[in-house]
Amino acid sequence: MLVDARRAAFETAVQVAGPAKALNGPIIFPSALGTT
Amino acid sequence: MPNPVEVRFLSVNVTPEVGANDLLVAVRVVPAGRDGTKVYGRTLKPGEVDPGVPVTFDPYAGEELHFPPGSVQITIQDVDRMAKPGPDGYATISNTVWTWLIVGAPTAPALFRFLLSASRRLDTAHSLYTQVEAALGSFSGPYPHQREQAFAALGLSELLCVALGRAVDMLQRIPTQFSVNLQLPGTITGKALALREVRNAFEHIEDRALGNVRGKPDANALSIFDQRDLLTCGVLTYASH
Repeated sequence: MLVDARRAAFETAVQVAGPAKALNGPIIFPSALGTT
Repeated sequence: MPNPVEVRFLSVNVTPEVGANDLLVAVRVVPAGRDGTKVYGRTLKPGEVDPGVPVTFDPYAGEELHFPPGSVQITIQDVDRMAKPGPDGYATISNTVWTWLIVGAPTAPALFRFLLSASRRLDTAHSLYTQVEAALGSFSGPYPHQREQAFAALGLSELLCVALGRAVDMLQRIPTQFSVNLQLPGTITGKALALREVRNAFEHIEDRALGNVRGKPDANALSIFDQRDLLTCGVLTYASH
């Protein structure tokens, strides 16, 4: 019952906040020598 | 010359302070090709087998590491991976829910509080369950000591019942309270009424001690004090439940 209830809480979180979130901005780790 | 840098995870943190102890979630990243001095990375796709290799770039040789827009995707599974299941298969859920409601799409504050509270009670119920299991399996020593152990097991059990009962009640209310299409399995709905009745009896033990249910004399009230089945087969009983 605990495991099933956990699954229900998890499923609720998926439904209200989505299953995934994509980061829409670029992430850049720069060169140590300056921008190329 | 320093070595190339190997990147295996990207993290989402609470603050921009480098080195702060403020991790929300870390996601696995893998190589996604290169273009001259631009090295590209991405997160794993849904269901993709992790190749086990890092994204390697050499900033001291003029290389940059790029994660283009949309190439980094964080899933609730990335968050839930931090919760390790115990021997009984249960893993805590509060941190997964809290983190995902912070990271994922914005959630109505009332639903946030409601779901997090239900999750916290579930985790507490599980913690109490493991303590009850340990207590029931360790009766030993002189009779007075065994009585102490029995009272401890019963005390933990009644609080387990309160925490679990309240959590299940809250989960059952979510579809109507928040218009969320949540289907609870029969393992929960089939036991919910009994759980609610036992929970109510334990939570209002002051009423039952007087032989009452909701302030009025009731023939079933005192049955909450007969919990011999807990000691013999790990079952809580009340009235016909």
